[in-house]
Amino acid sequence: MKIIVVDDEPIIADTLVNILEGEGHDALAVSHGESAIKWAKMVLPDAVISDVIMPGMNGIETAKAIMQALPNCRIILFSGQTASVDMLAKARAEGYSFEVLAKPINPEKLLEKLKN
Amino acid sequence: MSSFSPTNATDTVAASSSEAEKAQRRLAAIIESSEDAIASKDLNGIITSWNKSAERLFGYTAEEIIGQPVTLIIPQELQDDEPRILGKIRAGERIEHFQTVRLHKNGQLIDVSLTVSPIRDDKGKIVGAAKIVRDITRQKKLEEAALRLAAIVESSDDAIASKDLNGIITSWNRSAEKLFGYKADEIIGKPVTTIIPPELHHDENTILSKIRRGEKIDHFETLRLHKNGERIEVSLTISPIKDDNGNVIGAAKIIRNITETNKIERALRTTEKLAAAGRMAATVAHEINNPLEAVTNLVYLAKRDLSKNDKVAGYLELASRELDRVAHITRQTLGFYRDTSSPVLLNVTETLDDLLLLYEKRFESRNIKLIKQYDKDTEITALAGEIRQAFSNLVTNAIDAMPDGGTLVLRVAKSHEWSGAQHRGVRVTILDTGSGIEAKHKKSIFQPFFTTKSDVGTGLGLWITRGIIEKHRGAIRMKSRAGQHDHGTAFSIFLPTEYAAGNPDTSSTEGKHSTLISAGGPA
Repeated sequence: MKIIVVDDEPIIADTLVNILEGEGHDALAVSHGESAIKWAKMVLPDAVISDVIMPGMNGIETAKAIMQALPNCRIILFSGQTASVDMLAKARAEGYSFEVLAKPINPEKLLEKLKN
Repeated sequence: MSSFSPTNATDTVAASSSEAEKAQRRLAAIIESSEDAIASKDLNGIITSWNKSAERLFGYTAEEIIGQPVTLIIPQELQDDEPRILGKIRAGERIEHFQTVRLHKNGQLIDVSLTVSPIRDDKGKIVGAAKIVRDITRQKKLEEAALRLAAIVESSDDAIASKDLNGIITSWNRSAEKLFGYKADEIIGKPVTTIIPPELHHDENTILSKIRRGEKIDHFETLRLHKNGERIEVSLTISPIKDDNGNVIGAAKIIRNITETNKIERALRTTEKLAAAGRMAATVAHEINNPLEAVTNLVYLAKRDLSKNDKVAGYLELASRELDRVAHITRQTLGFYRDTSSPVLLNVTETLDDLLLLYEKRFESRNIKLIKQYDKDTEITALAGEIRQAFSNLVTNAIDAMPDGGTLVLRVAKSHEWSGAQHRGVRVTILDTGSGIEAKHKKSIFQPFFTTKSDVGTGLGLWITRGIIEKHRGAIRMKSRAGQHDHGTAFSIFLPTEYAAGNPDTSSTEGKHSTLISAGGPA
């Protein structure tokens, strides 16, 4: 599975990529929404795992852009911050519904989730 | 001179000072100076003598009234008394301390006590009656005042008791009986230390010495002992009792039970602490979650990439388990209010009323009108702390929604579950006339961290409230209307009568809209 991981904290993005690769996925770490969209259009991933609150373009805007470009790409958001709930509610009011996970994600659970 | 003149005083005898005459004059002087009104009448009821006090009491001078019928000073409705009195006198009987009413010259009624005795002539024949009339108006008033006071004391909601200067209980009202479990006749005559816990006996000396100095003790909060050994938190107000000369002869105490008030205060403090803890947890949790995510991943990778070092593998396994614990705790602290106590029988209306007391000031200052519509017998078995928290959240939300005043309606009714009639319970409706919830927010209000109150909201209130209600296998519903007219919000809660723990994980997983942060954590 081709997966892009977006998180402004490189240690999180990098370790997740490492974990995903260990399970045989083809993963790529980026630290901004903008680069995520750019790379998504190039590599056409099966899934994007993105943090919600990031400087610059946030995870929801990123996800919306990727959804429009790649309707079949699965998008999983993850967040440890309370502010994300309001942003998600806003997105849903506009018709966007996303899978959301709370940080910290247990890696085994994430891998399992990707299998479904 | 208007003076007492015995019937036979008209016989003018020369001023020879015979013994009999002397005695008679002495008697006349005594009668004239008596504090009691003294008069006499013949058997036809004609007044024959009238002393100074009688003049004072009835307003008639002796000249005016001697020779007049005694019925002159008897009120119309009591005229029948006179033939009866005369009848008794004729029979040689004496009438003692007969309490009745007589008439003053000015028409006013006087409460009197009469003593009427027959007067006999030398041969022992009854020729008239002597009456001693005592004005008991003042005494009656005092008696009435005392009775009124006694009734007030007896019916007071506060326990009222008195003791003498040796600390011996001298009176004990009904509320005292209720508060302490001792009947008045059990405790009167006993030392007051009977109701003071042993370790506080020394307090009594301090109190008594203050009282002896004539000082008052105001709202002294202390502990007292119920007959059953239980300790009661009380507020005492003790005042010295003084006699007519100003000497302290004892003490009157008003004892107010503040056990419940203190309980509520403590509960409120706890609630406030929890709310603060909740706010802090919300802030800290998301600061912690990012590093936690990183460490979790790192430990996972270290474990994965480790080859053939069982020792290190063991350490990492432990580290990973500990991390799961930390993650679990941060998630738990967000659902910060967990009542671990066991369910108790609680009266829903009382619980609400207790809470409302705490918000009284805010109702006043914001000009919020309170309307209560309570059914009777609204008892349920529930976790008291959590239910209080849930009600408190809804009431504070209502207050926050009405910064410029409004009406808060609290309805408590016996009810059945909406879905069917199987479960009996209580429905609580909390309705405000505040700004209402905008349609776009309606779906989000029960989500954690959702708040429109950017400065005061934690966004946890309704989420926690729903968690609590669901834990009690109840249900919560909201109706709201925003806009110009008829705006407001109503929350309706159903709580079943019997407590049966519901889903212990109250952290709101709404499967279909995967918008809630909840899944994915270690179980």
